[in-house]
Amino acid sequence: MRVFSQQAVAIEVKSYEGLVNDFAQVLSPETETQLEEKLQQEASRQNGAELAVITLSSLENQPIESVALAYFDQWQIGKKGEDNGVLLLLAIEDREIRIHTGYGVEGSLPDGMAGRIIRQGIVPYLQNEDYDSAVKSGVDNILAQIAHPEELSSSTNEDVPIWIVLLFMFVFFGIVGLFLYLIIKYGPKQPGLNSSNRTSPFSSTPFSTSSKSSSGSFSFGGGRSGGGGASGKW
Amino acid sequence: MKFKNKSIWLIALAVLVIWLVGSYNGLVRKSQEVDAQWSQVETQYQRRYDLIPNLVEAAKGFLDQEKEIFESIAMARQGYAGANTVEEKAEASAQVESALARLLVIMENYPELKSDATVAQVMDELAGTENRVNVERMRYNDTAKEYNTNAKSFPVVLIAGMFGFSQKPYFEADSAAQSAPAVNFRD
Repeated sequence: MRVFSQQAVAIEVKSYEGLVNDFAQVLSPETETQLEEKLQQEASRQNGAELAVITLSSLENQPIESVALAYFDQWQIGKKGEDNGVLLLLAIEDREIRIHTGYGVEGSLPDGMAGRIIRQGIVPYLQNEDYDSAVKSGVDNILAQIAHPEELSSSTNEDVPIWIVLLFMFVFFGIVGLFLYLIIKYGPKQPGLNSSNRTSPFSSTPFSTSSKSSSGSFSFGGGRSGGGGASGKW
Repeated sequence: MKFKNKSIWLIALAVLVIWLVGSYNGLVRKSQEVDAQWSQVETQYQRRYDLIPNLVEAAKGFLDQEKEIFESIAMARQGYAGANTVEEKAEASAQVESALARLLVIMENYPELKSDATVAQVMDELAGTENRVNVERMRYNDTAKEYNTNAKSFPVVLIAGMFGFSQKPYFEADSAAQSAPAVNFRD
Protein backbone atom coordinates (compact mmCIF):
# COMPACT_ATOMS: atom_id res chain seq x y z
CA MET A 1 0.00 0.00 0.00
CA ARG A 2 1.40 3.34 -0.92
CA VAL A 3 0.56 6.71 0.53
CA PHE A 4 0.67 9.27 -2.22
CA SER A 5 1.76 12.83 -2.25
CA GLN A 6 -0.35 15.18 -4.27
CA GLN A 7 0.81 14.84 -7.81
CA ALA A 8 2.23 17.99 -9.31
CA VAL A 9 2.92 16.60 -12.77
CA ALA A 10 0.09 16.53 -15.26
CA ILE A 11 -0.43 13.10 -16.80
CA GLU A 12 -0.72 12.98 -20.56
CA VAL A 13 -3.98 11.30 -21.50
CA LYS A 14 -4.28 9.89 -25.01
CA SER A 15 -7.54 10.13 -26.93
CA TYR A 16 -9.68 7.04 -27.01
CA GLU A 17 -10.25 4.97 -30.13
CA GLY A 18 -13.14 2.97 -28.77
CA LEU A 19 -13.69 0.92 -25.65
CA VAL A 20 -10.58 -1.16 -26.31
CA ASN A 21 -7.43 0.96 -26.50
CA ASP A 22 -4.40 -1.19 -27.12
CA PHE A 23 -1.82 1.61 -26.99
CA ALA A 24 0.92 -0.87 -26.12
CA GLN A 25 0.04 -3.03 -29.15
CA VAL A 26 0.04 -6.31 -27.23
CA LEU A 27 -3.37 -7.63 -28.25
CA SER A 28 -4.14 -9.54 -31.43
CA PRO A 29 -6.52 -7.90 -33.93
CA GLU A 30 -9.06 -10.70 -33.42
CA THR A 31 -9.09 -10.14 -29.67
CA GLU A 32 -9.47 -6.40 -30.14
CA THR A 33 -12.42 -6.75 -32.49
CA GLN A 34 -14.08 -9.41 -30.37
CA LEU A 35 -13.75 -7.39 -27.17
CA GLU A 36 -14.76 -4.12 -28.79
CA GLU A 37 -17.95 -5.74 -30.03
CA LYS A 38 -18.77 -7.30 -26.67
CA LEU A 39 -18.13 -4.08 -24.77
CA GLN A 40 -20.01 -1.89 -27.25
CA GLN A 41 -22.97 -4.19 -26.95
CA GLU A 42 -23.13 -3.59 -23.22
CA ALA A 43 -22.37 0.12 -23.45
CA SER A 44 -24.98 0.81 -26.10
CA ARG A 45 -27.83 -0.46 -23.96
CA GLN A 46 -29.81 2.20 -22.17
CA ASN A 47 -27.77 2.82 -19.00
CA GLY A 48 -25.44 -0.01 -19.96
CA ALA A 49 -22.13 -0.22 -18.14
CA GLU A 50 -19.06 1.16 -19.88
CA LEU A 51 -16.00 -1.02 -19.47
CA ALA A 52 -12.93 0.48 -21.10
CA VAL A 53 -9.68 -1.40 -21.62
CA ILE A 54 -6.32 0.35 -21.95
CA THR A 55 -2.88 -1.11 -22.45
CA LEU A 56 0.03 1.28 -21.96
CA SER A 57 3.68 0.57 -22.57
CA SER A 58 4.84 2.60 -19.63
CA LEU A 59 3.44 4.51 -16.67
CA GLU A 60 6.17 7.16 -17.08
CA ASN A 61 7.05 6.95 -13.38
CA GLN A 62 3.55 7.80 -12.24
CA PRO A 63 1.62 5.62 -9.80
CA ILE A 64 -0.86 3.47 -11.65
CA GLU A 65 -3.69 4.79 -9.48
CA SER A 66 -3.01 8.34 -10.67
CA VAL A 67 -2.77 7.30 -14.31
CA ALA A 68 -6.02 5.35 -14.11
CA LEU A 69 -7.76 8.26 -12.42
CA ALA A 70 -6.46 10.71 -15.04
CA TYR A 71 -7.80 8.59 -17.91
CA PHE A 72 -11.08 7.90 -16.12
CA ASP A 73 -11.67 11.59 -15.32
CA GLN A 74 -10.69 12.81 -18.77
CA TRP A 75 -12.66 10.25 -20.76
CA GLN A 76 -15.52 10.22 -18.24
CA ILE A 77 -16.21 6.53 -18.46
CA GLY A 78 -19.71 5.45 -17.52
CA LYS A 79 -23.17 6.87 -18.11
CA LYS A 80 -23.83 10.29 -16.65
CA GLY A 81 -25.81 9.97 -13.45
CA GLU A 82 -25.29 6.21 -13.31
CA ASP A 83 -21.48 6.50 -13.03
CA ASN A 84 -21.29 2.86 -14.11
CA GLY A 85 -17.84 2.92 -15.63
CA VAL A 86 -14.90 0.59 -15.13
CA LEU A 87 -11.39 0.95 -16.47
CA LEU A 88 -9.09 -2.04 -16.90
CA LEU A 89 -5.56 -0.71 -17.28
CA LEU A 90 -2.46 -2.76 -18.03
CA ALA A 91 1.01 -1.20 -17.89
CA ILE A 92 3.17 -3.65 -19.76
CA GLU A 93 6.73 -2.59 -19.01
CA ASP A 94 5.91 -1.73 -15.40
CA ARG A 95 4.04 -5.03 -15.04
CA GLU A 96 1.23 -3.34 -13.16
CA ILE A 97 -2.49 -3.68 -13.56
CA ARG A 98 -5.46 -1.79 -12.18
CA ILE A 99 -9.23 -2.12 -12.22
CA HIS A 100 -10.66 1.34 -11.55
CA THR A 101 -14.33 1.59 -10.66
CA GLY A 102 -16.81 4.42 -11.03
CA TYR A 103 -19.06 5.49 -8.18
CA GLY A 104 -21.99 3.53 -9.52
CA VAL A 105 -20.32 0.11 -9.68
CA GLU A 106 -18.58 0.19 -6.32
CA GLY A 107 -21.39 -1.93 -4.95
CA SER A 108 -21.38 -4.60 -7.63
CA LEU A 109 -17.60 -4.60 -8.00
CA PRO A 110 -16.08 -3.76 -4.60
CA ASP A 111 -12.36 -3.36 -4.15
CA GLY A 112 -11.89 -6.81 -2.65
CA MET A 113 -13.54 -8.45 -5.63
CA ALA A 114 -11.55 -6.36 -8.08
CA GLY A 115 -8.41 -7.49 -6.31
CA ARG A 116 -9.50 -11.09 -6.51
CA ILE A 117 -10.26 -10.81 -10.22
CA ILE A 118 -6.79 -9.42 -10.75
CA ARG A 119 -5.01 -12.05 -8.68
CA GLN A 120 -6.95 -15.10 -9.78
CA GLY A 121 -8.43 -14.19 -13.15
CA ILE A 122 -5.79 -12.07 -14.85
CA VAL A 123 -2.30 -12.31 -13.35
CA PRO A 124 -1.86 -16.04 -14.10
CA TYR A 125 -2.19 -15.28 -17.83
CA LEU A 126 0.06 -12.24 -17.57
CA GLN A 127 2.82 -14.30 -16.03
CA ASN A 128 2.85 -16.29 -19.28
CA GLU A 129 2.72 -13.06 -21.30
CA ASP A 130 -0.62 -14.20 -22.72
CA TYR A 131 -2.12 -10.73 -22.92
CA ASP A 132 -5.07 -11.78 -25.09
CA SER A 133 -6.33 -14.34 -22.59
CA ALA A 134 -5.54 -12.05 -19.67
CA VAL A 135 -7.65 -9.21 -21.01
CA LYS A 136 -10.44 -11.50 -22.18
CA SER A 137 -10.61 -13.15 -18.79
CA GLY A 138 -10.57 -9.79 -17.07
CA VAL A 139 -13.36 -8.45 -19.26
CA ASP A 140 -15.53 -11.53 -18.72
CA ASN A 141 -15.03 -11.45 -14.96
CA ILE A 142 -15.75 -7.75 -14.69
CA LEU A 143 -18.79 -7.84 -16.97
CA ALA A 144 -20.16 -10.70 -14.91
CA GLN A 145 -20.32 -8.28 -12.00
CA ILE A 146 -21.43 -5.06 -13.60
CA ALA A 147 -23.53 -6.00 -16.62
CA HIS A 148 -27.00 -7.44 -16.42
CA PRO A 149 -26.63 -11.12 -17.31
CA GLU A 150 -30.07 -11.66 -18.83
CA GLU A 151 -29.58 -8.76 -21.19
CA LEU A 152 -26.02 -9.73 -22.11
CA SER A 153 -27.29 -12.78 -23.97
CA SER A 154 -29.71 -10.86 -26.17
CA SER A 155 -28.45 -10.18 -29.65
CA THR A 156 -30.30 -6.94 -30.31
CA ASN A 157 -29.49 -3.49 -29.06
CA GLU A 158 -33.02 -2.42 -28.28
CA ASP A 159 -34.92 -3.58 -25.22
CA VAL A 160 -37.94 -4.60 -27.32
CA PRO A 161 -37.77 -5.15 -31.08
CA ILE A 162 -39.42 -2.29 -32.85
CA TRP A 163 -41.73 -4.42 -34.99
CA ILE A 164 -43.55 -5.68 -31.89
CA VAL A 165 -44.18 -2.12 -30.78
CA LEU A 166 -45.50 -1.16 -34.21
CA LEU A 167 -47.74 -4.23 -34.28
CA PHE A 168 -49.24 -3.36 -30.93
CA MET A 169 -49.77 0.23 -31.95
CA PHE A 170 -51.38 -0.86 -35.22
CA VAL A 171 -53.75 -3.27 -33.50
CA PHE A 172 -54.58 -0.76 -30.78
CA PHE A 173 -55.38 2.06 -33.18
CA GLY A 174 -57.35 -0.35 -35.30
CA ILE A 175 -59.53 -1.20 -32.32
CA VAL A 176 -59.87 2.42 -31.25
CA GLY A 177 -60.76 3.46 -34.78
CA LEU A 178 -63.38 0.74 -35.08
CA PHE A 179 -64.82 1.71 -31.71
CA LEU A 180 -65.09 5.35 -32.67
CA TYR A 181 -66.65 4.49 -35.99
CA LEU A 182 -69.29 2.41 -34.25
CA ILE A 183 -70.01 5.10 -31.71
CA ILE A 184 -70.39 7.78 -34.32
CA LYS A 185 -72.62 5.68 -36.52
CA TYR A 186 -74.83 4.07 -33.91
CA GLY A 187 -74.33 6.17 -30.80
CA PRO A 188 -76.70 8.87 -29.49
CA LYS A 189 -76.73 11.98 -31.61
CA GLN A 190 -74.83 14.55 -29.57
CA PRO A 191 -73.69 17.81 -30.98
CA GLY A 192 -70.05 18.47 -30.37
CA LEU A 193 -68.92 14.86 -30.04
CA ASN A 194 -65.62 15.08 -31.76
CA SER A 195 -63.41 12.06 -32.09
CA SER A 196 -60.35 14.16 -32.57
CA ASN A 197 -60.54 15.20 -28.94
CA ARG A 198 -59.20 11.85 -27.88
CA THR A 199 -55.52 11.90 -27.10
CA SER A 200 -53.48 8.82 -27.76
CA PRO A 201 -52.24 7.11 -24.59
CA PHE A 202 -49.34 5.80 -26.66
CA SER A 203 -47.97 9.26 -27.36
CA SER A 204 -45.01 8.42 -25.17
CA THR A 205 -44.08 4.90 -26.00
CA PRO A 206 -43.57 2.69 -22.94
CA PHE A 207 -40.90 0.61 -24.65
CA SER A 208 -37.39 1.87 -25.02
CA THR A 209 -36.45 1.77 -28.66
CA SER A 210 -33.45 4.04 -28.67
CA SER A 211 -30.13 2.53 -29.58
CA LYS A 212 -26.89 4.42 -29.71
CA SER A 213 -24.85 3.86 -32.80
CA SER A 214 -21.90 1.82 -31.77
CA SER A 215 -19.29 2.38 -34.43
CA GLY A 216 -17.51 5.54 -35.44
CA SER A 217 -19.49 7.97 -33.34
CA PHE A 218 -18.83 6.36 -29.96
CA SER A 219 -18.30 8.58 -26.96
CA PHE A 220 -18.24 7.92 -23.26
CA GLY A 221 -21.23 8.85 -21.14
CA GLY A 222 -19.79 11.34 -18.66
CA GLY A 223 -19.39 9.08 -15.63
CA ARG A 224 -17.34 9.85 -12.54
CA SER A 225 -15.15 7.92 -10.15
CA GLY A 226 -14.09 8.37 -6.54
CA GLY A 227 -10.89 6.39 -6.84
CA GLY A 228 -12.25 2.92 -6.07
CA GLY A 229 -10.89 -0.32 -7.44
CA ALA A 230 -7.78 -2.42 -6.96
CA SER A 231 -4.26 -2.64 -8.31
CA GLY A 232 -1.87 -5.51 -8.77
CA LYS A 233 1.50 -6.51 -10.12
CA TRP A 234 2.78 -9.47 -12.03
CA MET B 1 -27.19 69.80 -15.16
CA LYS B 2 -28.00 68.70 -11.68
CA PHE B 3 -30.42 66.06 -12.93
CA LYS B 4 -27.77 64.36 -15.10
CA ASN B 5 -25.21 64.26 -12.28
CA LYS B 6 -27.69 62.72 -9.90
CA SER B 7 -28.67 59.92 -12.25
CA ILE B 8 -25.03 59.11 -13.02
CA TRP B 9 -24.35 58.73 -9.33
CA LEU B 10 -27.39 56.53 -8.92
CA ILE B 11 -26.32 54.31 -11.79
CA ALA B 12 -22.80 54.05 -10.38
CA LEU B 13 -24.20 53.15 -6.97
CA ALA B 14 -26.47 50.50 -8.48
CA VAL B 15 -23.56 48.96 -10.36
CA LEU B 16 -21.49 48.89 -7.20
CA VAL B 17 -24.25 47.20 -5.23
CA ILE B 18 -24.79 44.62 -7.93
CA TRP B 19 -21.10 43.85 -8.02
CA LEU B 20 -20.94 43.65 -4.23
CA VAL B 21 -23.79 41.20 -4.03
CA GLY B 22 -22.41 39.13 -6.88
CA SER B 23 -18.93 38.93 -5.40
CA TYR B 24 -20.18 38.16 -1.93
CA ASN B 25 -22.39 35.37 -3.21
CA GLY B 26 -19.53 34.07 -5.28
CA LEU B 27 -17.37 33.84 -2.17
CA VAL B 28 -20.14 32.12 -0.26
CA ARG B 29 -20.67 29.57 -3.01
CA LYS B 30 -17.01 28.75 -3.39
CA SER B 31 -16.55 28.54 0.35
CA GLN B 32 -19.42 26.08 0.57
CA GLU B 33 -17.88 23.96 -2.17
CA VAL B 34 -14.69 23.71 -0.17
CA ASP B 35 -16.59 22.69 2.96
CA ALA B 36 -18.56 20.12 1.02
CA GLN B 37 -15.39 18.68 -0.44
CA TRP B 38 -13.85 18.51 3.04
CA SER B 39 -16.82 16.40 4.05
CA GLN B 40 -15.95 14.05 1.22
CA VAL B 41 -12.46 13.69 2.65
CA GLU B 42 -13.86 13.01 6.10
CA THR B 43 -16.17 10.38 4.68
CA GLN B 44 -13.18 8.47 3.38
CA TYR B 45 -11.37 8.86 6.70
CA GLN B 46 -14.41 7.34 8.34
CA ARG B 47 -14.47 4.52 5.85
CA ARG B 48 -10.85 3.72 6.63
CA TYR B 49 -11.55 3.97 10.32
CA ASP B 50 -14.34 1.43 9.95
CA LEU B 51 -12.25 -0.95 7.86
CA ILE B 52 -9.30 -1.18 10.23
CA PRO B 53 -10.87 -3.64 12.69
CA ASN B 54 -11.38 -6.06 9.79
CA LEU B 55 -7.68 -6.00 9.02
CA VAL B 56 -6.77 -6.31 12.66
CA GLU B 57 -9.00 -9.36 13.05
CA ALA B 58 -7.69 -11.02 9.92
CA ALA B 59 -4.06 -10.33 10.81
CA LYS B 60 -4.15 -11.02 14.55
CA GLY B 61 -4.07 -14.75 14.13
CA PHE B 62 -0.72 -14.53 12.36
CA LEU B 63 0.79 -11.76 14.42
CA ASP B 64 0.30 -12.71 18.04
CA GLN B 65 3.79 -11.53 18.98
CA GLU B 66 3.22 -8.05 17.66
CA LYS B 67 0.99 -6.71 20.44
CA GLU B 68 2.47 -3.23 20.41
CA ILE B 69 1.30 -2.34 16.93
CA PHE B 70 -2.27 -3.35 17.66
CA GLU B 71 -2.23 -1.17 20.74
CA SER B 72 -0.99 1.77 18.66
CA ILE B 73 -3.73 1.24 16.15
CA ALA B 74 -6.41 1.02 18.83
CA MET B 75 -5.17 4.24 20.39
CA ALA B 76 -5.01 6.01 17.05
CA ARG B 77 -8.57 4.94 16.27
CA GLN B 78 -9.74 6.16 19.64
CA GLY B 79 -8.03 9.47 18.92
CA TYR B 80 -9.93 9.82 15.67
CA ALA B 81 -13.26 8.94 17.28
CA GLY B 82 -12.67 11.63 19.88
CA ALA B 83 -11.68 14.35 17.41
CA ASN B 84 -14.24 17.06 16.78
CA THR B 85 -12.88 20.07 14.97
CA VAL B 86 -11.51 19.87 11.47
CA GLU B 87 -7.98 20.41 12.77
CA GLU B 88 -8.30 17.68 15.37
CA LYS B 89 -9.66 15.28 12.79
CA ALA B 90 -6.85 16.01 10.36
CA GLU B 91 -4.25 15.38 13.05
CA ALA B 92 -5.95 12.25 14.40
CA SER B 93 -6.26 10.93 10.88
CA ALA B 94 -2.53 11.37 10.40
CA GLN B 95 -1.94 9.25 13.51
CA VAL B 96 -4.19 6.54 12.14
CA GLU B 97 -2.36 6.59 8.84
CA SER B 98 1.03 6.26 10.45
CA ALA B 99 -0.07 3.40 12.74
CA LEU B 100 -1.58 1.63 9.76
CA ALA B 101 1.58 2.12 7.73
CA ARG B 102 3.63 0.54 10.54
CA LEU B 103 1.30 -2.48 10.63
CA LEU B 104 1.68 -2.94 6.90
CA VAL B 105 5.45 -2.84 7.17
CA ILE B 106 5.30 -5.55 9.83
CA MET B 107 2.99 -7.63 7.67
CA GLU B 108 5.59 -7.66 4.93
CA ASN B 109 7.65 -9.96 7.14
CA TYR B 110 4.96 -12.63 7.26
CA PRO B 111 4.47 -14.10 3.78
CA GLU B 112 1.83 -16.58 4.91
CA LEU B 113 -0.21 -13.60 6.10
CA LYS B 114 -0.23 -11.97 2.70
CA SER B 115 -1.35 -15.10 0.94
CA ASP B 116 -4.37 -15.52 3.21
CA ALA B 117 -7.52 -14.80 1.17
CA THR B 118 -9.32 -12.81 3.87
CA VAL B 119 -6.29 -10.68 4.54
CA ALA B 120 -5.85 -10.10 0.81
CA GLN B 121 -9.42 -8.91 0.49
CA VAL B 122 -9.20 -6.52 3.42
CA MET B 123 -5.88 -5.24 2.11
CA ASP B 124 -7.57 -4.49 -1.22
CA GLU B 125 -10.35 -2.65 0.55
CA LEU B 126 -7.87 -0.66 2.60
CA ALA B 127 -5.75 0.18 -0.41
CA GLY B 128 -8.90 1.23 -2.23
CA THR B 129 -9.92 3.44 0.66
CA GLU B 130 -6.46 4.95 0.84
CA ASN B 131 -6.75 5.80 -2.84
CA ARG B 132 -10.17 7.33 -2.28
CA VAL B 133 -8.73 9.47 0.53
CA ASN B 134 -6.09 10.72 -1.86
CA VAL B 135 -8.61 11.44 -4.59
CA GLU B 136 -10.85 13.42 -2.27
CA ARG B 137 -7.88 15.32 -0.87
CA MET B 138 -6.81 16.19 -4.37
CA ARG B 139 -10.30 17.43 -5.18
CA TYR B 140 -10.36 19.34 -1.91
CA ASN B 141 -7.16 21.10 -2.87
CA ASP B 142 -8.66 22.00 -6.25
CA THR B 143 -11.78 23.54 -4.71
CA ALA B 144 -9.74 25.28 -2.01
CA LYS B 145 -7.48 26.75 -4.66
CA GLU B 146 -10.44 28.11 -6.58
CA TYR B 147 -11.87 29.69 -3.46
CA ASN B 148 -8.54 31.05 -2.25
CA THR B 149 -7.71 32.55 -5.61
CA ASN B 150 -11.09 34.22 -5.80
CA ALA B 151 -10.86 35.56 -2.27
CA LYS B 152 -7.41 36.99 -2.87
CA SER B 153 -7.98 38.51 -6.31
CA PHE B 154 -8.59 42.16 -6.74
CA PRO B 155 -11.18 43.61 -6.23
CA VAL B 156 -12.91 40.76 -4.37
CA VAL B 157 -10.11 40.80 -1.82
CA LEU B 158 -11.43 44.14 -0.59
CA ILE B 159 -14.70 42.71 0.62
CA ALA B 160 -13.38 39.27 1.55
CA GLY B 161 -11.62 40.57 4.61
CA MET B 162 -14.56 42.74 5.52
CA PHE B 163 -16.95 39.79 5.64
CA GLY B 164 -14.55 37.35 7.23
CA PHE B 165 -13.69 35.10 4.28
CA SER B 166 -10.30 33.73 5.26
CA GLN B 167 -7.98 31.51 3.28
CA LYS B 168 -8.59 27.76 3.45
CA PRO B 169 -5.64 25.48 4.12
CA TYR B 170 -4.34 22.92 1.66
CA PHE B 171 -3.33 19.33 2.26
CA GLU B 172 0.43 19.20 2.40
CA ALA B 173 2.35 16.78 0.21
CA ASP B 174 3.90 14.49 2.79
CA SER B 175 1.03 13.01 4.75
CA ALA B 176 3.23 10.91 7.03
CA ALA B 177 4.61 14.05 8.65
CA GLN B 178 1.37 15.94 8.35
CA SER B 179 0.52 18.31 11.11
CA ALA B 180 -2.66 20.36 10.96
CA PRO B 181 -1.97 23.93 9.83
CA ALA B 182 -2.97 26.59 12.31
CA VAL B 183 -5.60 28.55 10.41
CA ASN B 184 -8.97 29.92 11.36
CA PHE B 185 -11.68 27.88 9.72
CA ARG B 186 -14.74 29.88 8.81
CA ASP B 187 -17.80 28.03 10.03
